[in-house]
Amino acid sequence: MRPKRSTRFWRNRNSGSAYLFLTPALLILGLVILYPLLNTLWLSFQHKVLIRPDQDSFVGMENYIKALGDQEVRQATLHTIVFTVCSVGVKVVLGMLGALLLNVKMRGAAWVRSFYMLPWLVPSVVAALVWRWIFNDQFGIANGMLATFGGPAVNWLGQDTTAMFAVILVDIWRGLPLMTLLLLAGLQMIPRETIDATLIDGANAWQRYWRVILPLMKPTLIMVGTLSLIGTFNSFNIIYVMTGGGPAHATEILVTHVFRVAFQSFNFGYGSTLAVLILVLITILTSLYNRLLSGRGEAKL
Amino acid sequence: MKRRRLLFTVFWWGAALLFLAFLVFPVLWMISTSLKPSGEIFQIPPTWVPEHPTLQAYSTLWQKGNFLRYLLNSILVALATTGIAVLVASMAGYAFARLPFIGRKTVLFGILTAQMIPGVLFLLPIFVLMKQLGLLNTYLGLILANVTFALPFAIWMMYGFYKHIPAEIEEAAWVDGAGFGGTFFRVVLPMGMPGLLSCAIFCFLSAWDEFVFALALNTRDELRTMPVGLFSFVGQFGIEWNYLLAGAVLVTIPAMVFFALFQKYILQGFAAGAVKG
Repeated sequence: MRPKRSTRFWRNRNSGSAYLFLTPALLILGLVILYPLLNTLWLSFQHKVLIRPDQDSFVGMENYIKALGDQEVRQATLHTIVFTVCSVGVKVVLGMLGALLLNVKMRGAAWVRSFYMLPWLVPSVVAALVWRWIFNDQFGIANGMLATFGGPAVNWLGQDTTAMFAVILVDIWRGLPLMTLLLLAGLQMIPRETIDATLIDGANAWQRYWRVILPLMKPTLIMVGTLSLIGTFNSFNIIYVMTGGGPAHATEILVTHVFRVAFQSFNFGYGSTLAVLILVLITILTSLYNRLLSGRGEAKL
Repeated sequence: MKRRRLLFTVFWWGAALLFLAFLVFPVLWMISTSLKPSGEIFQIPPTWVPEHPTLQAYSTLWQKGNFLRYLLNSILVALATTGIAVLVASMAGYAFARLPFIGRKTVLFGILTAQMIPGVLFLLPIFVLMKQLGLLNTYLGLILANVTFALPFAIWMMYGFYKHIPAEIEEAAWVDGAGFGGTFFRVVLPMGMPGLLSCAIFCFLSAWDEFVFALALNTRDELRTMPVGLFSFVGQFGIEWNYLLAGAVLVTIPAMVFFALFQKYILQGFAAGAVKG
């Protein structure tokens, strides 16, 4: 927090320059986010299919009513929740462990840290392609490893549960470095002695960890977890490139479903409705997460 | 005590290697596959290290049509996005951090909310917008979209960063008659380098990673970026994974170089900017 006297200093300056400094950001965000947002809202009340312009009309709440009873949407919502909760849950736990690990002063730790960040540097489309090759049912190394232990060949991306497992795993792989980095940044604000003590102090280190470090990390966990929740919820590239939502819609999540509705069926009106509903769902999810962690029900961003 | 320290070291390395096995293995596998000749990729069981390593996949890829073009497009788009986003975000972040203007809280909250907006859902209206502006199939349109989606987090980072820099130096500069703009460009920007650089890494990587907008906004082949180009190879090369993964290696390298250059600033910047908030 800035001291109060500074505020007075700055208030006495020309506050016009504040707006001047904000203008570029607000212009860009207004043009490319606010306008499209309003446009989406407007479209969500229309019947508009690009290839049938003769049928365009205003239909009020009709699209929304349709969406609530839509079996495919219900299924995609379920998949999205499974995908998001599993992925974020594992990322938070592993990320916390990784951050504790990387926070230790140790010879060679700098190298470990650099290599730890690798997946973040691999573009998500590339990550999806590489893992698609790893999970290849005939020539992939995943089945190659299974075979060494006498396991059966698994058609990873061709079965419902294994395909879902695979896309979650890849999302964790790609998201873990950034999660760890942000948690590490939070961890470094806790005095080093506190952490060293909990790590080296033998017997009840685990207990101390729960009692000392986690409570101190709560604000960071809230912020980083919220970010990750939003990012994972919208994770399009990995699923689109790895499975295309298949097999038979088993990995279809909401964003890939909307993409299909809008750009393969060209149903812009209904696609917009789904987009609006997804935004509502994200808002609910993030505020739930905030409440869960802040305990008293006061959301804090 | 000494023994406990040793035990701890062993434990630490054990855990670290477990993490690295999971995180690094796919990258090694990508490199290994890209160095195999076409016959060897279909060997059962798969070979861990190529038996007959070759750069054949790379040279084929290099000669193959527009690969180099895709790479240059990606670099151009990512660098332009980074430059614009960092400048705009640091100006906005600075204004939020220092100036108590009317509506500050509301606008800041609006920007945080914008962060939640998934790019894919905005593909449709942005496509329409770019069409109206005549920016379909241009670098500018794609850069504008990339900047937009990098901005909210970037602004937030810079806001958090500037908030924690003591204001006294700027106040002094201002009293000396440097003015608002002068203070910002001559004092604040140079002083805030770590924050600026970690923000730059974030913007670069998000632009380098971007796929959906590049796919939808630029349909002409010579404007494609690497991720889109690579995705189009899936069809062209069929199941010739050595070519595909040679491309994958080449897309990953620039991101690594960029990261390696600024790595030492990144943790510092994240700590001050994003997490303290």
